Amino acid sequence: MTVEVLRGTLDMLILKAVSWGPAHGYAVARWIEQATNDVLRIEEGSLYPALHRLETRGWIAAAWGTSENNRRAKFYTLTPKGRAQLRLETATWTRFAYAVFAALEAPPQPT
Amino acid sequence: MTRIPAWRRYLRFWRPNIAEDVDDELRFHTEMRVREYVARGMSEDDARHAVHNRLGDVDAARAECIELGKVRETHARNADFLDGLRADVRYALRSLGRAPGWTSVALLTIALGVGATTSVFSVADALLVRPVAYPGASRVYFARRLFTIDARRVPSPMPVAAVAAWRTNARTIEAAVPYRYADGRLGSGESAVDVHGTMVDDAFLGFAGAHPLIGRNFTREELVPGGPRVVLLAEAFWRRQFGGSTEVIGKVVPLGDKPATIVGVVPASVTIPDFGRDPADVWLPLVAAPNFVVNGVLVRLKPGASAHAATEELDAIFQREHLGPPGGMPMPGQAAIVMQLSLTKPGSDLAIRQALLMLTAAVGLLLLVACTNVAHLLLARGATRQRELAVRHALGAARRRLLRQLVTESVVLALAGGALAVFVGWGGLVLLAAARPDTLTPLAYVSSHRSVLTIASLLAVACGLVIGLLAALRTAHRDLGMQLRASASSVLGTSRRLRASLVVGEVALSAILLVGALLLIHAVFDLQRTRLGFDARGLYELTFTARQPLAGAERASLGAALRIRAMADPRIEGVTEANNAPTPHYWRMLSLLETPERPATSADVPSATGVNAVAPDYFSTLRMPLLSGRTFDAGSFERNEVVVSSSLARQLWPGASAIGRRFRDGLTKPDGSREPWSSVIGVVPDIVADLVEGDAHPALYRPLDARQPAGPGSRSVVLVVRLAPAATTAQLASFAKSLAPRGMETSIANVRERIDQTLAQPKFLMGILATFAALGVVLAAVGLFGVISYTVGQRTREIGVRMALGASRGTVARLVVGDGVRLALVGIVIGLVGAVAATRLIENLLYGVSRFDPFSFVLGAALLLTVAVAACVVPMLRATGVDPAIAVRAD
Repeated sequence: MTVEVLRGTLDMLILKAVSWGPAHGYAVARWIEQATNDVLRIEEGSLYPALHRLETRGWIAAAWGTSENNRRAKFYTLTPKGRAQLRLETATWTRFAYAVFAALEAPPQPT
Repeated sequence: MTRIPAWRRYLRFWRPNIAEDVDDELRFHTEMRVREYVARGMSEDDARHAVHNRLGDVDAARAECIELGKVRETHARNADFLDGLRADVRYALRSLGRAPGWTSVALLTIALGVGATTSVFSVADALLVRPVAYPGASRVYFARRLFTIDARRVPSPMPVAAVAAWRTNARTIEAAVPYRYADGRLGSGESAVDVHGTMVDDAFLGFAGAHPLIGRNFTREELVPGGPRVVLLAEAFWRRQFGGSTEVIGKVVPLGDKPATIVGVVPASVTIPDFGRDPADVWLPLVAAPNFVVNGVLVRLKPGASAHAATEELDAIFQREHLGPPGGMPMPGQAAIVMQLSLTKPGSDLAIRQALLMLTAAVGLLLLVACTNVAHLLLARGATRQRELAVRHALGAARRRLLRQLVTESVVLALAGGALAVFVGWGGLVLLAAARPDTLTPLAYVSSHRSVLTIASLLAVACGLVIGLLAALRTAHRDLGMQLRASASSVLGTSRRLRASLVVGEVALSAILLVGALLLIHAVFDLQRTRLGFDARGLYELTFTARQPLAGAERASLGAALRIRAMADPRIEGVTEANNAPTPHYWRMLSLLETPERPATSADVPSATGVNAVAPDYFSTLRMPLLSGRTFDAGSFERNEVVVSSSLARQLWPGASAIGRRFRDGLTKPDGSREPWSSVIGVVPDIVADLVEGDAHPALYRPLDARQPAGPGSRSVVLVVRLAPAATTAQLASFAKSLAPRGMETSIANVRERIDQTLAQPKFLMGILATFAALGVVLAAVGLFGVISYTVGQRTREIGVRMALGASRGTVARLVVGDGVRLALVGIVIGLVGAVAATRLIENLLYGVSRFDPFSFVLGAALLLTVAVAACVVPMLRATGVDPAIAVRAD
């Protein structure tokens, strides 16, 4: 089963993906698939605009480099501003997820 | 803003094309995926197909990426620019800081020049450029009825009925509002203050495009006779007198003799733009009774209507409504007096208009001098830095980059100078307002407008920028590589010529200012030396004023008693009684004098004649010699005897003796009767009571007598007293107080001081012009000093060679000073020629001194030449101190 990535969480996942070190778009897409055991599937058409949006916001920085197979590729790295943003989004998301779990697993309301 | 790391800007080298980059990135992704799928066992075609499906709408993604890329590109460029700018500014500050002397001279020059311009431009703006702040200001006119007398146009009252007629009938005007001046006292007892009041109706605030700050406008009920008595306060008065408290609304204050209720506060921007009077403190309701007259009417023309057409229409309505001879001034013998309805623009009849234009021109010149100086300083600095720039150029700095650096430096300088100039300008405005003589009412309308300050500073900074740019371009435009190879002195021919012409210009501008100032100083001193026609030393006018009018007999006995008591005091040398002393306010009357030999005709124009009623010892107390005849005696009043001034005697009986002749006022009195003939018994010299008006008015003296009909001064008794040399004004003042009967107020005026006060206006302008001239001369001296020092610096080697070859120190000194003097002389000659043209602007302020007055021209030239020589002294000392051995080896 695959789940479409929720809007808004893609940015967070990208930030997380590049937090391990410089990565190109393909690597980001692969990391998200692997890290979520192929559960989360990225609409790849929206990945690149998202990357560029983050770059424009200054959360990630881009540089052209050479890929593992010696091809010219654009590598993205997390900026300090991006790291702060990632921390913030992680915290928010975690709280949100806990709240949803708590609600789903709550005992029936006494009447 | 966080700083973008420097390496970021080199990204652009690898990223020449945004679209291509996006395509590259997407292609890389596609190929990686295809490889992945092929590795899992798909055929190449299937893999491509799958990848394509997975990508979805590639075109939309691509477009979005390109769009974002462009945004980033712009950001990067801006950040790049800001980074460079920051570096340049830092560099500029450092290099300015390295030469603190140079920097402070340049800053001071900009600040003084721009600041002075700002304050004077503010005044000109308030009085000449934008005299009214009303909506549709260009269509606002004063409608007045004027008549001409002694070549002056005198306003005559306007019946308020005319306003009503115009409002209903006139098609060329949009609105008309009457106004009438009414001064009075506000408050009671000790706290009462004199206030300038202006009466207006309820339409006025709307006409001025304003609303009360607090409270409300007048209502209709308050504008009918017998309505509630109310008053609006002007903002400035409200702040001054009531501390800007909102509690004043509804307060009842004594105003004149009756109480009035304060109903509102009018914003300071609302004034009647009549610069002959101080702005109003209070606004009163114009209660329009029939036959009521006003000082004038403000009208706003309809868009497109010409002032000429409006004048004709308003005049026609005025005639049609039979508003006839304006009330308030019965004037039989009217044929001679032509009344004329006239529309004038506010500020167009401003007496100091010419003077203001002159000031503006003067300060404009000063700004030019300041700009010249700064440009010159930049040039001199540019020249010494040429080698630095050449080295940097050789090390790889692009010329554009160097230029930008130079411009940044002058911008920083100009901005700092402009900031200082705002303070100088504001201070100047405050000083101007504080130093203004009471007679210069228009300045009361000038407030330190923040907008004017801003505009002027911006303009000035722009000035600085242009000059900086010019200087920078000059410095960097030549081949910088050449500079490095050539020795500095050999390539500077052209810029030396430019600097020389700048200095010549400076000296010329200072010469113009200096000559103008000297002319005014000469004129003022001449006027102060003017013979008054009487001895004013120790002469005082003592006025005793009663609350109610005094009957003739009462006045006479009171006067006699006061004279006897004053005479008894040893500090008083002489005392006499008169209707008024010869101060500037002395009484003049409009009259049309005729003699039996030459009766007045309707073609004659009335003229002003000084009229005074005096005691028999008036002339001896004032030390006015009787030129012929005798003075009054006890029977003079019955015999209708008069004493005339020599100019009046000449006017009526040219070339003949006036004694025993008869004359009278040819104008018919309001009741239709004619004045009886008077006979001349004596002739006295003309007197000057107003130095600015200069020419002595013809005057006639009648005997002071108890039977004399009560005139305008009927509430007071005036003694003219000559104080002993040892006595002081304070002693006289306390003596006068002790002399005053119960319930009478005393006032005391020094006659000479009063007369000298008439010079306040020319003196004020003289002061300002002299200040500017001094500033100009200082700036020119700085400029001259700069160019000569620079030349000496450049010619050190040449001087060394000359000295090694046997030139004496004297020769070298002459060489250096000769250079400076030559420049100064050229400048002075140009300046004097300019002054011949420019002084036309102040001709009407010179009161008899010719504007080609050689004294001012010669003194101005001499002063400037002296300053020029002085400016050369320090560079000369440096030149003569040159050691040939070192100088020749240098470089």
